[in-house]
Amino acid sequence: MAGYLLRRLLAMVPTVLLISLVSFLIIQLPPGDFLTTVVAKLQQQGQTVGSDQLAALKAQYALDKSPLEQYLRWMSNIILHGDFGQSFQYNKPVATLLGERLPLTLGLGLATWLIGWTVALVAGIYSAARRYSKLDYVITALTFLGLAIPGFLVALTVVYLEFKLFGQTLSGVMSPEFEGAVWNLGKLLDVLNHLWLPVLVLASGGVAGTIRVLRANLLDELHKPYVTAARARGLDERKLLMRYPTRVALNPFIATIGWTIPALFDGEVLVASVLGLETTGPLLLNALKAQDMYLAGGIILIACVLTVIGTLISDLLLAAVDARVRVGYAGSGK
Amino acid sequence: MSDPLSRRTFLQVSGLSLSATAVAGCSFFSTDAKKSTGPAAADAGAKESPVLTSLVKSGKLPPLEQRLPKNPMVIKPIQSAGKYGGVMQRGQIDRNATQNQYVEFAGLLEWTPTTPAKAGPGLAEKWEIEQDGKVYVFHLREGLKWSDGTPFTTDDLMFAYEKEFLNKELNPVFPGWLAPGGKPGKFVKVDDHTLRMEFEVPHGLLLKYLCFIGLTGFGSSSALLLPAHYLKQFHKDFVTPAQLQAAMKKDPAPSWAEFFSNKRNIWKNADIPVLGPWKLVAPLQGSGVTARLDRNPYYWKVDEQGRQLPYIDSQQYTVMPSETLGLRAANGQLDLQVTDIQAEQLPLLIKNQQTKGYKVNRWVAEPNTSLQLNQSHPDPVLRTLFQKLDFRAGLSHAINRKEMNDALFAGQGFVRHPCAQPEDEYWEKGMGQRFIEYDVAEANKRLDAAGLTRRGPDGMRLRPDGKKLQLVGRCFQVGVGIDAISVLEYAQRYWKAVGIDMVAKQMTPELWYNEIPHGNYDLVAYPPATILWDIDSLWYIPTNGLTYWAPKFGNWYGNHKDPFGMAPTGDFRTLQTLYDELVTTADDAKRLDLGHQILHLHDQNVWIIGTVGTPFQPLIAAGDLKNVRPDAIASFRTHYENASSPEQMYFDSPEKHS
Repeated sequence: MAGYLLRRLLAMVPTVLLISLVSFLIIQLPPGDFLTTVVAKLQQQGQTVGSDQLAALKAQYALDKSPLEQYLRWMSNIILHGDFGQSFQYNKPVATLLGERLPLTLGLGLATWLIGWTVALVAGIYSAARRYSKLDYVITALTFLGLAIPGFLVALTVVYLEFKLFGQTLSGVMSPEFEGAVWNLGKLLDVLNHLWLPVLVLASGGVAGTIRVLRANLLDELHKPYVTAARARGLDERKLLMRYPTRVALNPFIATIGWTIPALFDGEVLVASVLGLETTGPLLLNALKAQDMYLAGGIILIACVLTVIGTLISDLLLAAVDARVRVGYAGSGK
Repeated sequence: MSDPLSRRTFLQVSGLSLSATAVAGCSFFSTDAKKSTGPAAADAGAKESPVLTSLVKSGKLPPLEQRLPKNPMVIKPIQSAGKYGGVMQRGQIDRNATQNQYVEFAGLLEWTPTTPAKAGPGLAEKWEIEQDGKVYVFHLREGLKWSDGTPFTTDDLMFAYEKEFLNKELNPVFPGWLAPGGKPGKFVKVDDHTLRMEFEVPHGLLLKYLCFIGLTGFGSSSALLLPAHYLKQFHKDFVTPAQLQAAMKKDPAPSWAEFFSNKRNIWKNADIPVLGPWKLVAPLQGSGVTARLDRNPYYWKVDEQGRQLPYIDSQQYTVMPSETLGLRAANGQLDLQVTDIQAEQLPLLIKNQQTKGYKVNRWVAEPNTSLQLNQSHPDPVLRTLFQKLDFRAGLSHAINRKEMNDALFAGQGFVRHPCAQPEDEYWEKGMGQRFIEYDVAEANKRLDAAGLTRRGPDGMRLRPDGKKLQLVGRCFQVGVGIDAISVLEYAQRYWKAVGIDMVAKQMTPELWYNEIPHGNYDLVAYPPATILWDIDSLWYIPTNGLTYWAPKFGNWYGNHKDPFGMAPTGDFRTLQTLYDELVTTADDAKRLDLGHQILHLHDQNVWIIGTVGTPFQPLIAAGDLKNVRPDAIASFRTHYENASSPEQMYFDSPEKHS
């Protein structure tokens, strides 16, 4: 097991480097760069930028070097100094920008994840155990809707309905009058009143999928001989359900925990844009549109690293809950 | 008019009846946001805001007489003298856009609140023009102070000239607005309150240039009013490299020039002193979405009773997506808004104004999203074709403007090619009306006359050289008027009927500013400026790469060796020489004549094919916001809402706006 872990850790290094190289090159692909925008802005103000000035600006941003050289410079700065480079668009270090956005991004992501999974597990287990009951049909109908309607559309609709029915416009994290105000009950309620919507919208898509998969898996398990055997021994139905088939049915989710971590980081681009939430998602979107390559590269790189780490966590968790996987590890460790 | 209170009552009722949203009516739990403004009770005789009075009492601020200049500028309120207090709620779409620049603006000269706007007194109370416009002498008001209390003198202006305009790193090229005919001007300090600006040739537009935020505001790279005492600590010429490096470590930037311009950014740096009515106190931070501006205790304007302006204490800006901004405005949650209100939101805004307690003023709009063929096209065949008047006339006749007007503006828009507009001093009645009628037969006749007689197997016209003719129309979401892509889509349909194949392509603004100035495109859709265009030359005269109808000629104007330039001939060159003459003409009558000549060339040649103009620009104002001009022109050149002098606006019930 330890040997396996070590090998996995070593393999992560080239994987991450390779992903980072590819993402950096993709960011470089479109014609032009941020500098052309700077020059155009100067021209717009009635100034003409000469070729020598252009060269100086290029050197300043290291844009005169080859993409590979720019990449090496970028990577070595990250590894050696934790410096992700400078965002041209914001005129700020990328690390600072990310630091500003992380608390809200992660808070929102975690809340969404916890609420989503709780709802999904309860609903999924209920739906499988009481198959073809009325509530099962209701859950099924809702999940199909949840799967079919894109999150940003739900967000837009809810925002409009809020305005139409209750005369409110929900967007951002709190109402303008509370920004900068001291924390009190009012502010807390205001924040909660703003956050239920994004959490609901963000969770809805994922919840629907989770419920469907959990239901299907569980239905497979429910009729297996080991369940019948346990029931024959007189085990309480509820205990039986939770102890055996549910544990097995959870395997696919544990295996995909790895993907939820980067999803926390950049998965909510559209919804966050619609709702005016200043998380890392819209930051990445803007960076890509503006060819702000160090910023975009930084976000993509972090998302990649998180995916790789997440996959590792998934594998370890899987081994912890499932003896079959553990045995497989033990074999590979030799 | 409905009482703005009804909104709050409405909220509470809906909150009561629907538990899901009950928490929104926070006043239930008596947990209001903190109040920052004092009572406006002692208003009647007060010469300053109660907020400032309490600061004076506690010794944190000198008394009013010591803060105002000897001769403060007196403003006659539009309706009535106001009450002090209140926070104005504003909105904006872009995190980086600085809508605040309009209300933080102060000028050596400022626009008069009239239509058309004229250059009037500002920080300079009077001025003389000598030697037929070669020398301008400005007299600053005595005792002016920056928002931190430091005196504002000629030295600040000399700092801008010597340390900014002449510094190659900050301004690689000397600012064009100070170099009439390409000859850089000079600043000379006479005394602490008198400055001479000297030019080699007469400068005809200087007074107007000085009023224009795009050239002299903080956002421009050639800003004129810089607080020398504050900025010196970040300027290479005043501190040692070590000190500079230490300062840059705290606030990293890729270069010294960037660092300096960050320090003078009035949207990001709350420390920089300003001269305008409000100043930034809390910038956008992290993932926050609001920024706050407070009153400048040293502001130098008073009303007729000598009471210091502005009346309103604070402004709060919330960044939100365009749809939300429209909904908030329609909900009465924005107290003053001109920019970032999209034309599509008009019906909702008009419908809700009674119930939600705000009003919609109809200001004169500029936007007339026009089709602009690239007269400097790199392909000689297309360039020759585009330059034929018959071709442009044919395209124009093919457009059904009435249908567009009915569909987009319920028939309220105006139909004209952009050639200034009635509110502009260069405007002449009857301009911009050639080839404007919808006439398919005439369009076909004109296109045939332009040499497009051959057609391909699909029935579409071929280029004169027999190749397939397909034009690519480009645009991006401009943010004023109607969406440019819909204009291109209309044109696409109309032109197809006369055998012209065009495809529409929308781009991101970033890519637009990358590609378009190089001038390698067929045509674009964009709304050109139509008022005060003489201080923003590129719209009618090819003076740079963003002259959309002739970008390469514009690049050539700036630099004859520009790789993306092309030498203009005939009328194109005439426009440039006429403008050079216009700038260097001190005589107003002669200047108007030159402007007319420029517009006549546009009228005759229809280089910019107009479609339908926005009927009006909505200005959203809270129900109890007073002293708002019912009509003005909403334009970047007159600084949007600043055309109504926000410093003299006030809330009738300031206590409701806290």
